[in-house]
Amino acid sequence: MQNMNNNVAEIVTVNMGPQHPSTHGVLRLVVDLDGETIVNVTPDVGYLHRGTEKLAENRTYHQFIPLTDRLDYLSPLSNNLAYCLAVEKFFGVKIPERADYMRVIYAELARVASHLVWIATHALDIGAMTVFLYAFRERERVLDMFECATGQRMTSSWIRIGGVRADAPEEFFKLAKDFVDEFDGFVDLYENLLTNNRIWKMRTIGIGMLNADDAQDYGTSGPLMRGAGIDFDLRRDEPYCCYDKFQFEIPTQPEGDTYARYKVRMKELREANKIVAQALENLPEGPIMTDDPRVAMPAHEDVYERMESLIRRFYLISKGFRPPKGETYQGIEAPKGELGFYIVSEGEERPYRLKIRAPSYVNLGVLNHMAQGHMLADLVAIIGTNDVVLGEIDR
Amino acid sequence: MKNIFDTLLLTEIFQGLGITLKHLFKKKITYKYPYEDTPIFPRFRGVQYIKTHENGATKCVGCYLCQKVCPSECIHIVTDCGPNGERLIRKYEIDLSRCIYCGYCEEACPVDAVHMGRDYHTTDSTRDNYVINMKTLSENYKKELANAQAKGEQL
Ligand code: SF4
Ligand code: SF4
Repeated sequence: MQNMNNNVAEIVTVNMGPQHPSTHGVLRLVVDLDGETIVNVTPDVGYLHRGTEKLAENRTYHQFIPLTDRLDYLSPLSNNLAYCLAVEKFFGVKIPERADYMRVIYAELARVASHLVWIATHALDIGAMTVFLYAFRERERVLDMFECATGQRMTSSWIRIGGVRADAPEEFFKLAKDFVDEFDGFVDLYENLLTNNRIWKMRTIGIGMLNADDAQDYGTSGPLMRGAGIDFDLRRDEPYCCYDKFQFEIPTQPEGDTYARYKVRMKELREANKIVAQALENLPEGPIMTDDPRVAMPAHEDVYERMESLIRRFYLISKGFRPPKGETYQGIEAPKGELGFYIVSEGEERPYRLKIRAPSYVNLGVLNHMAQGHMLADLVAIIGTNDVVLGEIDR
Repeated sequence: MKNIFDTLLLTEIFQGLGITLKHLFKKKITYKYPYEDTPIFPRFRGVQYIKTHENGATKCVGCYLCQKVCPSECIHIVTDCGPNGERLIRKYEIDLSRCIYCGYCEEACPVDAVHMGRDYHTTDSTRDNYVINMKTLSENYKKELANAQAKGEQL
């Protein structure tokens, strides 16, 4: 009798986070353990809740752009882009070609920056510290470029409804060209350190399995989905901006484990770099902001000289622009997956309702499925491969 | 065979030390921040300044556009009518502890008055010091102007 009792597994519940360094922010996980094996993981989110969606209802469309920076703070420019595209859909404005190209450059550089943070922290969690230092060195260069072009490293608020706020300075193109030329070498360096590393392989192969059916059922997107073998990418399947003009591949891996997702993201880094290179090469000349009077702020030079522009500026700022009644949804392929903005308009200068489809939030839902049956130590690898950002999950 | 050779002669350790040695002579990419400032780009958005005319009067005309556009509602303006019917700015304050340095005020200003400066040393021990008024903003302009001239740049 006594023996039998000893054999009955005792489930221990422990807390991981919200201050745990490898939960990438303020994520609290309630983990049920049988010995060291994970029985159940319940993510508890909301520690970083700032009410972004509600705040949108009290801001004009223009004023909401800085708040989007603070969603996925590792790639602020993708968030700016997704939001602006959604609002532009209301008006049906035509964006000048140069602005489109600049948006692509910014979005892809943001992907590079975001994936670099991912590889750095993911490797650090598993124990490979060298990669962390190298990847952050390169990320700093991307952030420098952002500072050069937009004025801030991370909270850029630079993409505007109807275009981009201002053209990038010459220095930006120089920095970007240098970076693009060297970047493949950097990725080679990370791959040298990790791809055939025995410890890395043991910690990632077969860990956090997610097959194609489950990936689809849970509604995941981005590298998580492509790592499970589903060939889906909004840049190619529902092109926005001018992605249909670029040549790039969508990397997929059928295995569906942590190692497969690592490979997908590494290839994505190279592909993003390729897109930036093409965009820099074919960058057309021209205006950076649409001249559609419904949304475009008149340029400064105009405002100083012409009365009409001055009046329009006063009107746009004090009244804001009013999209027609209706609703719109626009999703983009953000570094973490499909980032979408759903906006309901009642014909006023502020949204009636704004819903953000944050990729990290949906991707986090699959965590329990991926972690069940693995060791507790593997949980950090699984969080890392999930690549969540809490700013976006809690909103 | 080669493996035993490698183990005996510690080749891999020397390879690793070689990389360390190489990095020792490379250009450093870190800065000792509080002792030396990190370089910033001309577009950097730091503490605001307000331009003044030659005679020292502020360029701001008190149009309230920056107050209106500010997403964090940190600009407070009070205007008044002067004896000759001109517009007087009684109060112009920016609360830096609320400011998110988005640059919207600079973008909105119709007379080229308020601008984002390049100063980012804003730590202070009391909250009151974070509220800066027109006098400080105009002084900031003088500082920024002097800095820019020293570097041979235009504001
Ligand atoms: S930078 Fe932005 S938050 Fe700061 S005062 Fe200007 S508009 Fe307001
Ligand atoms: S927008 Fe310019 S002119 Fe108008 S109140 Fe602000 S600083 Fe003064």
